[in-house]
Amino acid sequence: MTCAEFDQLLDRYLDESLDATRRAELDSHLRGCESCRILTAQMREVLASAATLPRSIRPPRDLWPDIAERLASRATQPPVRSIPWRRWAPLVAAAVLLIAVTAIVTVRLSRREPPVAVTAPREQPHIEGFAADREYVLAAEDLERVLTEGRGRLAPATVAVLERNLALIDAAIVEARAALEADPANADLRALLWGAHRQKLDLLDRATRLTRS
Amino acid sequence: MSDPIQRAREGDPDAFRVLYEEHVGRIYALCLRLARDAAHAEELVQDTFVKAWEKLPGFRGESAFGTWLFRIAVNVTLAERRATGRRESRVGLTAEPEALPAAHRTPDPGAQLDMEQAIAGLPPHARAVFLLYDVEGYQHAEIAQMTGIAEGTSKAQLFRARRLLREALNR
Repeated sequence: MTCAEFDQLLDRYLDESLDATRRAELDSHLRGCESCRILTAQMREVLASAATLPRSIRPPRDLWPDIAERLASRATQPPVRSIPWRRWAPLVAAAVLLIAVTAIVTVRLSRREPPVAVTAPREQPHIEGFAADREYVLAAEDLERVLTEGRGRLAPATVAVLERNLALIDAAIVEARAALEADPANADLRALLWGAHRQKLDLLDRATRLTRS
Repeated sequence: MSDPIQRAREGDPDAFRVLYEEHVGRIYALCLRLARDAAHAEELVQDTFVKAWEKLPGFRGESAFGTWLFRIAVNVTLAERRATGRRESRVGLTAEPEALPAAHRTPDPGAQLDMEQAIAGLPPHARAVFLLYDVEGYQHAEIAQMTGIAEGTSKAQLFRARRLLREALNR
């Protein structure tokens, strides 16, 4: 073994990651080579010295107030669970399917029952949900505009999954809204509609974040 | 997953402060050695914790919280260097001995400061790999993941760093 070969293997020798045969070769070389013994000893000193360095050093001043101030400035944007698309897409799809299926089942069941109230025009104030419905729609439209601008930054496969899921949610919204119009006092239908809206906003919000990441 | 982590994930800043107090020393030590400048290190520590707060809801406990936070600190430091092309301060640690804690000045302050100065003199990538491998004890695969370099590159940088340090300490 030459000194150059020894040097190439020295790190693994010091890290004790060589197999026994190789290690014996290096030991043998060391016994007959003073310069490599010196090199090895100096390298051991480097590692020993590194091991004595403190792994923790307290900052000279408390940095928390500055950090807290920066966190407070983000208070209007609380942490949102950020999961890679490939992990959350199936969850969203499953959730959306659940909403859609539940909505369809509920609508069908509600159609078997006599209407609790006569269908009222949307403008009538006692149908409190329709104003909120409109707010959800406007909020979704805002996000959709942002998403449209950034859509080019998403992979085609991501866009395809996104569109498929949005279509499912939209279908659930349409179904739930139609059922609620037929049965405005039905709290379950209203909860389903709001749930679908929230799913859509959440999906759009995550997608717009992806376009910025 | 321990309680402060869970509460911080749910948006509790007091719980996050508990995590800050627990981990700030190690994060500052890393940032100080990577940046070689106390004021810059403080900025990097703040950026690391703010970034951690933003990413916390995605923390799934697959690694120790400290390791997860460390990775963020490395990413923040390297990303900041890439983004700004920031020239590292010519002021080394030996010019700021007050940045080192009292415990750090014992039992052989000369040898430790020599070592700190030698580390500060390493090229940035070699320094980062040396700190992560020989000071922090991470494996090459983990370092590759943290820094975005290949595992073989990490090994090569460690080889380089150790030899440069040997030369610097034996002049």
